[in-house]
Amino acid sequence: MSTDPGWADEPSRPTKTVDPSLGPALLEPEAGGLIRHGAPVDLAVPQARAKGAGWLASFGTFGAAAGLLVLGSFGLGLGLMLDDLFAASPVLGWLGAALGAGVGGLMLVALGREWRALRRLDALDALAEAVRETPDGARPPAALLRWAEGVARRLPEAAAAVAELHRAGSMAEARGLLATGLLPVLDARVKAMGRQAAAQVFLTAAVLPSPALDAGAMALIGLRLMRQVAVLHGVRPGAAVLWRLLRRLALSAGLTAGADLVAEAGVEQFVEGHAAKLAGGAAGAAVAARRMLRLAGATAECCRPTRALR
Amino acid sequence: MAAGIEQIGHGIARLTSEAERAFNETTLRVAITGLSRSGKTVFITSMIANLLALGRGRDALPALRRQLAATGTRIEAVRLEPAGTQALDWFDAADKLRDLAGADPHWPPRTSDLATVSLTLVVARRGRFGRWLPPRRVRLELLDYPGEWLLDLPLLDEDHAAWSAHTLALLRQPPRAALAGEFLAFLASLDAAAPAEEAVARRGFMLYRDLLVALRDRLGLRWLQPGRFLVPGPKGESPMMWFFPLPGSGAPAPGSLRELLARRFDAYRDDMRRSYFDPWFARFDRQVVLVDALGALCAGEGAFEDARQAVAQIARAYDARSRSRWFRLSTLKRVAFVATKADYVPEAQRPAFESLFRGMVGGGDGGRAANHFTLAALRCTEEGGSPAGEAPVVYGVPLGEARRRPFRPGHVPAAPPAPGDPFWQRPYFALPVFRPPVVDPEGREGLPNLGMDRLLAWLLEDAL
Repeated sequence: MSTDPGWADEPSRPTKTVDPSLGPALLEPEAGGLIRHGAPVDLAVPQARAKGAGWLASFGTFGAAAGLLVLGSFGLGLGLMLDDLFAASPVLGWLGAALGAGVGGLMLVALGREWRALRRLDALDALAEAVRETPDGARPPAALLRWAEGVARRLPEAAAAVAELHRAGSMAEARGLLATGLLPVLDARVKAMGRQAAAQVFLTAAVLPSPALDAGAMALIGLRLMRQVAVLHGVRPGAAVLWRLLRRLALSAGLTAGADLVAEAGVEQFVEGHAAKLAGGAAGAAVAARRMLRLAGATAECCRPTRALR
Repeated sequence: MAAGIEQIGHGIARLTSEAERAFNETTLRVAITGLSRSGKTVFITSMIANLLALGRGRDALPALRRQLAATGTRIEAVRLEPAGTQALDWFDAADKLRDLAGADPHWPPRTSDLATVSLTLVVARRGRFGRWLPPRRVRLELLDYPGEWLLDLPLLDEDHAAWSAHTLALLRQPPRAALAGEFLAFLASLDAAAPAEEAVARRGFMLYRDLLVALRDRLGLRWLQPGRFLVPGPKGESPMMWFFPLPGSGAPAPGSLRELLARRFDAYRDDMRRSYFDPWFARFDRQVVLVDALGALCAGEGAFEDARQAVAQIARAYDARSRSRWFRLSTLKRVAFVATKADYVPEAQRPAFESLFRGMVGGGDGGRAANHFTLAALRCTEEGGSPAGEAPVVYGVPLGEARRRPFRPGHVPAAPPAPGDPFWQRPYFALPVFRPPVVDPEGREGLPNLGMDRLLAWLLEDAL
């Protein structure tokens, strides 16, 4: 029997000569059960292998070298310092050793937290993949329901939508309930956060005397906004996670969007012309404030397992 | 004041959304046409399942994937559009899949009404700056309907007298003449100027309808008008359908049976135009014409010629309805003629089958705007080895059985045999119905098929 998978278009072969008078016929049964064809190849396999490089890939070789340099210098410096302290007095030496152990321990805790945060982001990515993979007729993945429960714990007004999501009999229903119930509630909170950050940026830009300070303040407020949105979606906001989110945002089309961008530019021009006067002529303040709103939206999109559905 | 601001906000949002759609979205209306039992419903189900699987990262359509890779395009996601506010039935692909892959697999029942479905392909933009722009969306609007109704399309340009003349001419020729005796005898008993009589009109209608059913089921014929006599649809049978072909020329006398039948014919034609053809069967961008060419070949010369005529008439009618009002330019950019049930033909004979099909329907232009394909939307056989010197076979499990049986399609000529050719001496043979293969009921991996990838790669080549 042929083992053709049944999916590929097959190469043509020369026609076999058949007696022209031979008619069609269904012949006697033979051994062999039902017809089964193989499954098609998973095109995502090479990507999955690349993902195996792990979360360290986020830092890149340069980041790893810099980390090694800092930690190594710290270790060597600590060793030299302890040597000097023990030479001066054993009491000072033990005090120094305790200090070193305390600092080292704290650094390990911090690293552990980063690691856990990255693991959480990886789990969210895996969930997004599962949501994308699950056909309409199948049951929604349990991890999706757990994620929604986590959101409901942080956002009580989403509890009703999450309870309804638990009753979904199929992934199609779950998708619909997410789109109409949970995500609008999340969107409203994200917008509120974005508006708050926008107001802060607007006022800061109006008050601060230097454009360099403006940029610094904007970056700080932006990072804080990203942390808030990430926490809301159940992502632990470590430094590495924020770095990874920033990389995603840079590659995301959410921030630059064709016709949307043109329309936004028009609105921004209009808003800036009037709002800048109110802010004492702080150029760009209104635009920066609007960008906070967009940053909030784009970060939320990166932190959701439903991003494949949009 | 607040309401005014809100209204302005909604207006801006709507404007932005429309601008975004104009920039990023292309809609293609794809007409899946074919005579009854040519496999439209399974074709649409398979097309949806395989495109969704492709969107989930499965290589379910290798030729399409290769073509996209060659042009640097990538499909990021594929999704079914929500039903929206349409008045038509929604084509429930998941339900059809359950029919095919359930514990007791069977082919979807005969389509009895219009149903529509839209599929969106999210396509990454090409070029250096493509990654910075949002992806394009290509919406495919598909329509499923009873194939029998398609035969009413050519009726739109006819009146009762003209339709009666060529229908009766066909009924007097073989193979129809063998079954048309009772109806023709009934016509012969009627006076040319018979007065309008309801009971006679109804009896004529029932005889004619029974004749159409017999021609379809016993001889495998497809060119049977009017289509709603065979599949009445959700409206059921109504008095406007109580007509039949009646010979006669010139204007019918007032109060005569001919006049009554002509009025009903006009009412039926106008209802089909108003209810179905004008709103749903116009302005298509792509057309797929499905033909059960192997079934027609096995059914004999009459059925083969009948199918050929029907396809030619339908293609002509579609072409006429897809032209713009002013300059008569066709909106149909690509037309694919597709011979279904290619999995009934062993691989070694498929080139001959495709060549036969090309000769049968004609109309190709080397693949620029019209092309020919052989296809199995759901492949339910396996290739089988045949002993040296014996005809090649495929293996399938007939519906209702549990063991596989070899099927031999016999000689498949590379060109349509001429009328009266000894080839047509073969007895009438109805193709066996094979059980669908074992597939994932969720359609996670798409549906095993033959040639669906080549067809979609060509059909959507210029849109992706």
